[in-house]
Amino acid sequence: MLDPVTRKITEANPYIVKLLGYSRKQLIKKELWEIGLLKDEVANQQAFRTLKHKGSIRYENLPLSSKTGQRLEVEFVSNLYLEQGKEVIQCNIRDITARKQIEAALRAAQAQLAAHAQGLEKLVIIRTAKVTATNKLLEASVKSVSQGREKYRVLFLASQLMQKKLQHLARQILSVQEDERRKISRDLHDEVVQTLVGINVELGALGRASSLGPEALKAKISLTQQLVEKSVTAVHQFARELRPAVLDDLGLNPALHTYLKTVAAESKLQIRLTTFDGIETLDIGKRTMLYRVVQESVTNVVRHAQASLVDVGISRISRTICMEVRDNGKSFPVEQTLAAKTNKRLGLLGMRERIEMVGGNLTIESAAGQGTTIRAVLPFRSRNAA
Amino acid sequence: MKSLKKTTILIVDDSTIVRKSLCSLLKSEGHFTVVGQARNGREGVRLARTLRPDVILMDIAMPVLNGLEATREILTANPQAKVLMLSAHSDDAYIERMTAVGAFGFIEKQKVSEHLASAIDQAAKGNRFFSPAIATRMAHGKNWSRDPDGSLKPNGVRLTPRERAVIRFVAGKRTNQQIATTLGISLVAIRKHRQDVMDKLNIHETADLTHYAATHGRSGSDVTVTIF
Repeated sequence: MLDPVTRKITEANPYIVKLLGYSRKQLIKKELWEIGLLKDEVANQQAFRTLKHKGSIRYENLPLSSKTGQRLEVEFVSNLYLEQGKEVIQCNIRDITARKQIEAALRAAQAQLAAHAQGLEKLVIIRTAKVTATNKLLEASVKSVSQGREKYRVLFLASQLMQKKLQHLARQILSVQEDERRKISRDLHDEVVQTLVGINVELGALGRASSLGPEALKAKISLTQQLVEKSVTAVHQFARELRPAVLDDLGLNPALHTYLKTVAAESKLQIRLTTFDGIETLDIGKRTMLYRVVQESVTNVVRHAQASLVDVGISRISRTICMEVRDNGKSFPVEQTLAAKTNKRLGLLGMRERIEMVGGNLTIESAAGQGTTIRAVLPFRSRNAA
Repeated sequence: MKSLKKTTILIVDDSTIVRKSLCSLLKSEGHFTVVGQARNGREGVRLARTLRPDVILMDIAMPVLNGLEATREILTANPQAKVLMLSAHSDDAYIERMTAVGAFGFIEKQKVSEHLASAIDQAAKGNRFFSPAIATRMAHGKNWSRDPDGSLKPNGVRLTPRERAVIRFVAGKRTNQQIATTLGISLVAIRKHRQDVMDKLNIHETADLTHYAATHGRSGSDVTVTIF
């Protein structure tokens, strides 16, 4: 309570005593500025004028220092009224420090929230952009997948066809292999086993014939030895047919010489071989391949071509090897033969496979009146140069 | 006979059975003594150097080092060594290679019991020995000819440098006149070379010569032609 004339405090309630930290006695007779309220003189007088004029004054938010110097925020409401015919001023001071703090915290939280929201918004924008981009990619890949699917479908069909062809080829090879095995088995039995049985019989006879004279004994032994020689020759022949030892022991040219000489002797063919010494620097795999191609080609000539001449040529043209087997016999339809289900076709495919395996290629030319030319071309890298 | 020095022998063969039977065969003859046995060419070369046997019996197909290479090495170190080759292979190509590496003789493995003793005896005396069938083939076969150095060769022909030049020009589609001018020899000489080439190659048609030249015209000097 204030006296409007002296502006001094006339009464103070316990709340304000506690708030300001002054005792009631200390507060009585003091002016407001002395307890740290409305310290500004001009503002102070202005406040009293407004109070007298309007009958009340209200400050939402006044700074105030307590006795201990603590900063407080207060709400200050002041009313002027008559009490028992005398003007009095009642000031209601309420501590809003806590409220203010909460409000500040709230504002900070709101600001934080706003910042957060803004961040989120930015994030959303970025994410949206990303999603859009990803969507585009997805669309593109969906498109390409469907295109790819179509391509793969075609490839798949092609591969299925190829697989069928391969399967057919594999079966053919197996069947030819089986035929060859049957032949070897039969020949082994006829030529080797029978001879060995014969040897055994002779030996048995020798064991029993102790009464034989030395000459007869020698004759029997000599006969037995002939049988042994015969079986050695037969086994030797088998081994040669399976894999010519001369190719491993001496090389391609001696192997071709040996082979072609035998063919010429057994058929009516006249064979010319032109080759060069340097071919032996080729690795054994490629030389084996060349040998097998010559063998297959010449076998075909003997079997099918009714030719009188075969020209086998191995030449070197800069960095390639060209191998030709040319005959003057009757021609054959190359494409049809390659498509037919015959052993000749298998032989041709086998040659092609062998040559492609070592990085070369095979061509077959056959024309009426011109005979057939099988030509293999492959890169020439000698063992030493590699 | 006891005063005679026994013939010392080294056996080089990768088959134990063959080594054993050769040993027993040689033992039965009485005047041979097996001084060493090797299981591959490399061992053979080493034992030949340390044992210096009178005669070496050499297989062809062996691991590590084959008999042909081993023979070559042995003779390089000691040109007086006498190597008799023993093999089941008797193709001309083998005989050619054996003589080329300097083998002193050859017996087919099938004929060993028949000929081995006399082959060793001959070799010890300094005479070459080839199985009768092989010797006949080498002497009379039209497939054989002797090089100036005495080694036998199958009758492959090599074109002379002049003939190869002619082939090259044919490949280049030159006329005889152009070739004659370029080489500076007469047209008659060119015709003769051409005919020689055609004879050597068993070619009767000009078109065939052209084709042949196109294929082999640029090949080097190591080309051999063989007619079977």
